[in-house]
Amino acid sequence: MLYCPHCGTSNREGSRFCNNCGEPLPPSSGQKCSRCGHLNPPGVFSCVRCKASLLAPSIDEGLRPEEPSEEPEWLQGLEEAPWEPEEVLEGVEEEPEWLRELGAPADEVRVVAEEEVPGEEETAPWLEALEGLVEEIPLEPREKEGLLVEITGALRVEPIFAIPHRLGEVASPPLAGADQAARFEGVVGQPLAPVATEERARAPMTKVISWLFYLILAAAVVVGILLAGENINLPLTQATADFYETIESLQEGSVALLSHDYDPGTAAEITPQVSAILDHLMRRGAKIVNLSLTPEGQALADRALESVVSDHDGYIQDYINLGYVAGNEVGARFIAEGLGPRLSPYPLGAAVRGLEDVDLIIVLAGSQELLRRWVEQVQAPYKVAMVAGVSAQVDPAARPYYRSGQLEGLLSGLVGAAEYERLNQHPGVALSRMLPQAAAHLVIALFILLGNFAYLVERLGGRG
Amino acid sequence: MKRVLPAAIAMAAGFLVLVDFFFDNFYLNALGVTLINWVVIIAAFALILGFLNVLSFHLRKIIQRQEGWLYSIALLMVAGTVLFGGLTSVQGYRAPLVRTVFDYVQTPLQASIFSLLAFYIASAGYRALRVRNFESFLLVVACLVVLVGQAPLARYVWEQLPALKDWVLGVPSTAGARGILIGVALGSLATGVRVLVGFDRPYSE
Repeated sequence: MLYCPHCGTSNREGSRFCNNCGEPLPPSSGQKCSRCGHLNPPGVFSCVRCKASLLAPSIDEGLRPEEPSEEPEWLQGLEEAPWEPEEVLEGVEEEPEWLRELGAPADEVRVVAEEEVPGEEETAPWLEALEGLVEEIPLEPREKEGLLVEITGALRVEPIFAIPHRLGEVASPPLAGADQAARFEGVVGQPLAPVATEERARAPMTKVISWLFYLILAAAVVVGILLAGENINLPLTQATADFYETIESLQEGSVALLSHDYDPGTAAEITPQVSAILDHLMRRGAKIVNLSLTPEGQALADRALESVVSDHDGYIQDYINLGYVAGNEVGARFIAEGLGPRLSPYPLGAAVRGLEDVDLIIVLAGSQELLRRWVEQVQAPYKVAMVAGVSAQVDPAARPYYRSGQLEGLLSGLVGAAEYERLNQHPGVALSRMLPQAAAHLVIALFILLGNFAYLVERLGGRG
Repeated sequence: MKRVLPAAIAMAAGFLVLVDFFFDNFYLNALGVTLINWVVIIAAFALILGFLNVLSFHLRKIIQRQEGWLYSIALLMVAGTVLFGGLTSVQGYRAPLVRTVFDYVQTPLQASIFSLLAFYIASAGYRALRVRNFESFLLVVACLVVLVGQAPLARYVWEQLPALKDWVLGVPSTAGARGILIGVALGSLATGVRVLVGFDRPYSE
């Protein structure tokens, strides 16, 4: 492994650049294990792969490194050359004005500074007061062997506790503190302390409760599907009514641009919306330009168009699917600036020369970022009429745009699709799914109430 | 030069598009549109690079028998199938092979994963949404109002419940969302200025 000096990421052996930050990596370095040949990162004392000791044999054998054989050439040269003071630059000898003002010649100042030896001066009264209070520091023992022979105060060799070795692999003599290290290793090697018994006892119970909830929820949905009908009396929200009115106000031959910005995950909510909207647009005789800012959206748009067009035999097929447009935010802007050229090869291009010919943009967004792209990049700068159909989770983020008038209408989730189907007087899949959804909502609400009731009982029991 | 040139190009391109946004000039507009077209083309090529990266990553995983290498084989097989189907047909993503994988593999899998959320929410609703203090009380009440109010049978629980749900979504929730949006906009503005003046260089990282 090669470790990046910039971010610390481990990279494959032989890599030239870091996989994470792209910084160039230093050439392979580290210590090669004598046993398995693995190249270890610098600074480790045992092989990362086979745990063998990486300490050099000389250190293992009594911690005694070899003495240098002879002096290097550069050092010999240094000893022979006598020290000479550097040449004094011209002009520097002159005494500067600021020094002259002090009243003492520069040479005298230098001499005085050299003669001032600590200890020969009078001892300060505060220092005298300290005498006797400070214990005399005992002299460190002199080193008897190794490179530091006869030197005092050297740090002693200590055993390494951070990276425990297998004692068998560490060479003799036995290190001081080895028994502590062994004890430490024993403590670290012990199995983890058992989790609180109470928590363990509760774990199976929690699992049972979870499964019970899942079963109840599934049963509620199944019963809802079995009892589902299309005659549910839905209260109509203003946002859905505004959406419907916006499309209803389109004249025959108007151009609507639909952006299918969702994926199969949110398609269960948005596809019924798309079907209802396409159904309405085709009844109004609008020309429909479809595209997508998500790769999956282009295929989902195809499916929706195929299913709706088959129900509208009289509809002149004035629609097109331009497919996926890459570039995220820029993709939306790209369509706004270059819609005409994109459509020019097709028959619809004769009617749509640019965004100015588009009467309404309909954004079908599975996430708030996808909706924001259209509002920020197209609606705000080009002031085109825009409505949106979103999944229920995007509703809170979309509502500010609706309240500010940037979105003229808003469809939210499966409920929005069902409301639209009712307004269209063309019941579809959304209305038939209302009962299962309502059942699931009510069951989850009951779970929340139940959880709070249990919590209240627990708290009251704790007080009692 | 390696650092200055990319920064200079990025700053110049950014300023040009920004100026094009504020001024209505034919030449500026043409330049801005050209740059935007380039971004879309480069983004499309970036997708190819991304695909190659995924390919090399999973190939390495398989060769080194890393954890989960069998899933990598499945991924490469499906990717290869879709690529082959798309490239060998003039219909592109509408080719029967690509369509089959999308309709019978991707769509059901993604929909299943998303639908599991309902079960997690049910379990989490029981465990986490507890009234511990006044703030959590407000949270639980708002949650129940929207959850039940969204259901078509809400009016049978309480006649005013749908209206109350609309108020919760339209007033307090929108106020919070608006605050977040303004914060995001200010953050984007600050980030944009930092990139334009060269303090941040995401393009050279």
